[in-house]
Amino acid sequence: MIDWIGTHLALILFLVLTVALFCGFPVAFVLGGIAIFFGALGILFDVFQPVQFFNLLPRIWGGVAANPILVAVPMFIFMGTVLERSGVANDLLHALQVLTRRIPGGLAMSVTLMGTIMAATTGIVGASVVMLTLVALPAMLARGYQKELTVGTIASAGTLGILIPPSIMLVIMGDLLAVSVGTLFAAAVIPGLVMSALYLIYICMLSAIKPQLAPPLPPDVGPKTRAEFWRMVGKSFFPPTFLIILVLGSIFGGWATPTEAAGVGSAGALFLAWLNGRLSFKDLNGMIESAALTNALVFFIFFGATLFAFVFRALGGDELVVDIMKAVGLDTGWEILVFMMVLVFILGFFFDWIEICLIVLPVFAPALRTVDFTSHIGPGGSIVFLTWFIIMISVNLQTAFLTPPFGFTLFYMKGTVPPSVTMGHIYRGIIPFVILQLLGLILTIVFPELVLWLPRKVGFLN
Amino acid sequence: MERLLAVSKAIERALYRVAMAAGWLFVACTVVIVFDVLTRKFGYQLPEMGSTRLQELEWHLHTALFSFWLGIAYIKNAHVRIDIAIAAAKPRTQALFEFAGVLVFALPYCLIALYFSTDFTLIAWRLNEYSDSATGLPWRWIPKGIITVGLVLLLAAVVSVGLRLVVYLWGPQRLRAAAAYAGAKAHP
Repeated sequence: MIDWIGTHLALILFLVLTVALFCGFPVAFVLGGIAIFFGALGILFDVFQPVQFFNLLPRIWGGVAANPILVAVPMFIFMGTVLERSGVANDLLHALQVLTRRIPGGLAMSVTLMGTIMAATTGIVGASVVMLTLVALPAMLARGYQKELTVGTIASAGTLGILIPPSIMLVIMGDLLAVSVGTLFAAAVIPGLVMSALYLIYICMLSAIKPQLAPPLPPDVGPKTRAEFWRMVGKSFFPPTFLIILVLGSIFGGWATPTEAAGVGSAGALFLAWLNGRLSFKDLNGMIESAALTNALVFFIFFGATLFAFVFRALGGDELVVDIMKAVGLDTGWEILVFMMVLVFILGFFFDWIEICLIVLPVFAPALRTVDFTSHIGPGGSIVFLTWFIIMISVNLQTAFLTPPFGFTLFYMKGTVPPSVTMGHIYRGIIPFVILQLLGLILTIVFPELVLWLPRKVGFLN
Repeated sequence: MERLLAVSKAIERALYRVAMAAGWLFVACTVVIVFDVLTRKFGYQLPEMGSTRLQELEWHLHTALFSFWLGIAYIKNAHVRIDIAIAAAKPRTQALFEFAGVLVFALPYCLIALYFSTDFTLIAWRLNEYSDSATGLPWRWIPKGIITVGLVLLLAAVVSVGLRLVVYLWGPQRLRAAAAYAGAKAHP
């Protein structure tokens, strides 16, 4: 028995972690604390040396601090926060409403379009969901939109932020699996637009079939004259277009690294906020505080997960995962792939993208090294496979934001919606959109060209 | 008990002040990146401050940005938790769980990480460690020391929350409201 414990510490560690994460204590502390406890057990069983704990710091140092790629994360968070408080969103939603007023479900579609455009200017989700909820939800309810459709539209549009580049999730996954961030950004563009298109098609079809769910806008909305109309469009589309060209243009054009693009984008967002008169000392302090808290949360998980992953490996975790997969008969590439997709989807009910990325990816990385998909995705070796794989995981992780009981988007909405919208409305509202996300995932699996065409086209995968 | 609460709040205020000051490094980092991009474009170079140094400076600033905010983010309850299992529990039960977490997970983690981090910084200091790149920045002990300071601040935050929970759980009734620990979650 005692021997069995000594040789299976990695397995026990994983099981204890799974239970302990649910005790409600911050995930990073749980990861780190349990790793220390099992390191100590490993010392007792003579499978771990106390001095191995010293490795923690070089790993945090090399993996998190002295890592020029990850500087993109705070900068994209800062850029997103500044932009979301700069007031460009309200103008944009108004213009989109006017543009889509003659289409069935026009207002809902303008929310999805706005989520898509905002996603291409920011790399984060939280604040953009709050913003969309604050700006669009009262408008949609006032027009008599069905509550379920309203909530589902806003929640799904908000989550596009994490898939459509720039995205801090892609920066972190690229860093973990050693794929260039520029390649991932290029690879995510089409799947992101496909997701957005699926939402739009669904909303349009539903509104055409059941017009009572999505009443049209009165025809007198919007500017009266043509000149006024174009002025409104220009004023509201200029800021996001400016930022998208600045950030994505400079990355895809090969002029700037993602970190540099993020820094330049932050400067651009500050400029837009200043133009809109939203950059007082107090405003800036608020932006800094919000961005810094988000940033601390992301990197603290790194701290905990670094120690966890290290102790897990030292106790033989890598072999354990490969052995277990073999034992349950998962050895072909497709079996492993489908297993991981189902696992990530299920984990998404309870965990958030950052825990899944930082805990699950390192644990399952060894199994991924053994698979070969050349016949499905074409030549190019492991980089091509990893690019495709990361985008599939990213599309899959979008569901994590929407699936109860622990979808962050839902959590945010719950705090922002008026009392007439209940959790029941929210849960029923997101179901069709989760199904659409799964459809998007299946499309990226079956048609890898959706992912790989653009990065090949701009020469990132040659 | 009043004194414990006062200490807890004093730590909180100090951490907040340090963090807000450090938060301006977002702006500093933006400026450094823009400056680096522009000067490289126009082929200009500050004496003694070439692109390699600027790029190293960027991640030095990044290191300070997250290090100085780890602690206050715990006090402000911004760190991710999976609280579905205990969300419905009574506030007192939740506080007991939190206190257990502080003792079992947070304190050991902070102390061990701090111990090895101090070592790590002191080695860099003694060896007068320099950038790996010949044109990089000297004084590696500074960013390494920043991580150590960040862990000290994190430990202080854990102590602050711990004291608050002691007052809440075992202090007099009248202090309970002032000692309650809860907050909204921020998220990417």
